Amino acid sequence: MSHAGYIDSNVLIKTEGLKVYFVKGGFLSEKQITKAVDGVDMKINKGEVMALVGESGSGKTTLGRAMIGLQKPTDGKIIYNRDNNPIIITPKTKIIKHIRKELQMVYQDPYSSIDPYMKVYDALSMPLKYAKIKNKESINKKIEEVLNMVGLPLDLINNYVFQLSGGQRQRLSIARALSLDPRFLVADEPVTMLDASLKGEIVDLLKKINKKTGITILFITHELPIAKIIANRISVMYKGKIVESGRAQTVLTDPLHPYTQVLLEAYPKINPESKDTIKTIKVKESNISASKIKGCPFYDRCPFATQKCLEKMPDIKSISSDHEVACWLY
Amino acid sequence: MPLLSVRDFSIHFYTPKGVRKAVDRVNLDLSKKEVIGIAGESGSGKSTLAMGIMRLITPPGKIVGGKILFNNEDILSYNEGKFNKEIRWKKISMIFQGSMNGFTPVFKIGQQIEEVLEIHEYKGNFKERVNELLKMVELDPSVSDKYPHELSGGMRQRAFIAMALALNPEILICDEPTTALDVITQAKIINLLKTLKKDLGLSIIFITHDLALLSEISDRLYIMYAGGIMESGYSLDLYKNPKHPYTQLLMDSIADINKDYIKGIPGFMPDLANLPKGCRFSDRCPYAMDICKQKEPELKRIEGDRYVSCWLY
Amino acid sequence: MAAETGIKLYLNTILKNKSGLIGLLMIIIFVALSIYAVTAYSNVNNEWKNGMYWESYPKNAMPYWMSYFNPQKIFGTETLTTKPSLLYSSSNYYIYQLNYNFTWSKDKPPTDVIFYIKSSTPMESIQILWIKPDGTNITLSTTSQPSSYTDLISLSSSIKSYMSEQIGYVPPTVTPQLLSQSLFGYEGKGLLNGTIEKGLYKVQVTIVTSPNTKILINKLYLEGNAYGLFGTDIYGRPIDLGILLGLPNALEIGLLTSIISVIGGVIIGGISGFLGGKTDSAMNWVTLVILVLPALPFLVVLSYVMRPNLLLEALLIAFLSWPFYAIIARSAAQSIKNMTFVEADKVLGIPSYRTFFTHFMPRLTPFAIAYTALGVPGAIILVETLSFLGLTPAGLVTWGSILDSAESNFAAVNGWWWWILFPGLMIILVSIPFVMIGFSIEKAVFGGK
Repeated sequence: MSHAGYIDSNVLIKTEGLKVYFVKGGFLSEKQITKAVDGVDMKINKGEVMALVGESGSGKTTLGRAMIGLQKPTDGKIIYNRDNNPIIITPKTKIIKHIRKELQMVYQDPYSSIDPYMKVYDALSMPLKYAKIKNKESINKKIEEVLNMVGLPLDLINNYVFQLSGGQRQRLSIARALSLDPRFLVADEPVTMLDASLKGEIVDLLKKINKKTGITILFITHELPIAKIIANRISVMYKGKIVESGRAQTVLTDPLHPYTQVLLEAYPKINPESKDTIKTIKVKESNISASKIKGCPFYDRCPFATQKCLEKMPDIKSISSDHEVACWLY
Repeated sequence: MPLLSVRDFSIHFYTPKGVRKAVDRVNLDLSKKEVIGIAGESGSGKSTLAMGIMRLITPPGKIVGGKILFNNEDILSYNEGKFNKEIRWKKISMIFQGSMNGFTPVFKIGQQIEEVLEIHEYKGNFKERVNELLKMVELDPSVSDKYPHELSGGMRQRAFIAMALALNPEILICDEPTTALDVITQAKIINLLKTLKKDLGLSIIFITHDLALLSEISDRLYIMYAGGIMESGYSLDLYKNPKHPYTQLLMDSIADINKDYIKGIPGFMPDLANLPKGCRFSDRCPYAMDICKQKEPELKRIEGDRYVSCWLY
Repeated sequence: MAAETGIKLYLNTILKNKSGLIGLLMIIIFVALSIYAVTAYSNVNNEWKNGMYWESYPKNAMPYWMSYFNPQKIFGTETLTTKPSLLYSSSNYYIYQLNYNFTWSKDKPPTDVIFYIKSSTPMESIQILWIKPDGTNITLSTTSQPSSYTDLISLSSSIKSYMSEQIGYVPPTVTPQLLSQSLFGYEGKGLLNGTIEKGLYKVQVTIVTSPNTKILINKLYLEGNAYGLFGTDIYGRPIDLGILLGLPNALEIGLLTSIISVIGGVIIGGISGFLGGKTDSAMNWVTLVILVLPALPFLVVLSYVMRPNLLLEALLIAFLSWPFYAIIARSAAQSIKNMTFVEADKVLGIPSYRTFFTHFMPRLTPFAIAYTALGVPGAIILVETLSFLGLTPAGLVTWGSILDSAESNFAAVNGWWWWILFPGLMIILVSIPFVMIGFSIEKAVFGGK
């Protein structure tokens, strides 16, 4: 790990030209390359909640995992500003062990991200034990602290995880991640699998934790309203590239990129008056193979696409302070 | 005169842990050219209700009572043979969440739709009908020569809708048809359903947990909880003025882009084998009174076409 | 820990399941019988190969209960004893006389007549006067110095002369049956035609011994053709005893082999699947190579060369059996590896060996237990097969060796069905409870989770 690299002092983690390509086959069959993350530059400021929004297949989960070292990048770098001592993670870097605690993750499925047959106490104490907190008293104290923070009763420690509900398990996941005092938390679709009535609680909880501890959160989701509630800033991802990013309010009320626009238009809203109106969806049917597009990934569906869009990937332009878009329209 | 009238419909599941009342004395009406939405969380019984109307309930589930009047005849009393010949897929058809995977990968789309026509003894030119259907769902006729894996999820869902409409049914039941699709494709399918309603006079029962989605398509709405109907009424009124406490809480929990909060509903859905005495929502209701815990409220008409099952009214 | 509730859960599931309960009961019975066999009959175990020990037992006798079907033709052994009278004593020799009287009412003669006389010093000579009910008599004596057991074969030369006297010739093959028939048949040409005299027989045994010899024990065995629960073999060894003695051996080897191969296989496969990568590929290759080896030929050769004892034989069989379990454990480990909580552990900084113990072991253990139970019958059959081929671990009585003996002595051809049927049935019977328990554990493992 080299310690060079320029990074703003208020940025916690950033990526430069990050690429994650998956290669299938090779020996006997044709090589199939999936470009999950295809050149992403992203900046996340200290203490903020950044929502990474995209449909399934956009690469958002892969991006989140790569940022905390769970996925080896194919190209590009990730720069983690650790106490103003930037650490660069390149494809050649070995997985960071002593930094591990500071970069944590909350998974999408509460039923499989914690072993159901474990005791709650063990689920919480094990990571602490291996984080070299030897003293049993300190471990218990920390457990009490995080359970409190996520709103779970202390006496739950004697239960088995399978006795907990989905919502409780997700809180437990968050508690586990927090117990290591991380700086950066990637929440990968943490409420997608929960019932509507539970989503609010977990989202509020993460908001509260962010406010209280100042922890930086990357909140990955495909549900726009949820992103709006929790995020300070939003990045919109499409087929491996960030097409638009900026302040949450701005992006969601005044979307610039045709994809963001169509996404917001298509997203269901409470609008009983519209029940007989056909929504205008400004999107074409795709009829070109993805590999032929050298430029903007949205080319084949974009109603405003030009020859330039087909050939060259648009540069990122700042339209206003804190609103960037990658589109030749601008 | 409603096209479809469901009265006192009950479906029970006989499990080792007890009898689960998945659908408990449900009443609903569907008129011609109308879209009714059935909303509820997971476990509310809405999918079971849909399967029940199509008589696709398998053991340990059993339809234990009620009437389903279609054009004034009780189709629940038909034996399986008659129901299959006259009603299923002919008058009432269905699409589901996984429908896009309902095609077998070894035959072309066109062949599979033709097979449906054949089984149901369609009188007319098969190939013409297939083309007609594909056009109806805004698919290019060339799709009939493609295999399912050659199409995207959204296109396969459209193709399945085409297959469901093959015999010109009067009612189409849609059970979470867009949940597995991306937002843009979802919007397009909803547009399609609206078009079919207008052009074919199709009546639709749309089932989902997504209340925002329902608002964009339903004429009338039924709110289901733990096997029973809590409230029903015109969509416009219901969204503006929900009466039942559960409906109110449910509305508050919708994630809508124009809101910046979502509220949860504390508590858990009761065990369907062990429903509480009295109102099934009583243990989570913020307005629960003594009578709520004793006696189950009936679905009562309170104004216009609004029905509520609650002691507050 | 979750393991504790796990064990209780399994026990409960087995006990609730009818077949599991029956299986458990059967095993308890078998274990009790084994303990009984090992404690009460340990000396018999050592005498199994000793022909002399079984002299007084009827040879090739069918099970005793067969006599209920036809008491006239199927009967047990009658034993007679009497008080020896000293006829003459001098400084050179003593003469004793033993008088036996018995009534014979069966349709067939005894399969053998054995005089068991134990004296304080070896006897000089014996002479037997055999008086049939009709008064005719035969005088019999041994050709060489008498031993404690004098059977018809020892007296055959006297009997043969009697035969040739009566019917004019001696049949080419003379079996104890024929000899016995001579003693019980009617004198004359029809001596050996199968009919026998019923009535009171008198047998007078005159013994010459050295002076001051005492007759300690005397018995006259009129051997029947039925004995014991399961009959006897050609040496007179009761099959029921053989089965009892073979039981602890079968159980021991079966369990030992199964446990070693399952535990070995699960550990190797589990770790291999868990680690993945090159280690996994290498281990997988080794597993497949051993899996493909034909077990029986290898075991035959190795057993022949090494002549192993019980433990070594178990290890040998285990060595060729573990790959089967390793493959199953490996794919189980691979599917566990895909579960999100495995990666979550990594993110939380938990070292991989700990992950293996916390998440993989408790999930692999139920497989191990179920397959141990299910593997026992296979191991037992393999051992008994090896035993049948003559490769029994030294000093052990096994059902396979009993069957081997039956085969070498043409039991099937001779119609001694009990020698084959009961040991064979036992092999199957002992497998049944393990299969039942194994399946009910499997049900607990796959049903519950």
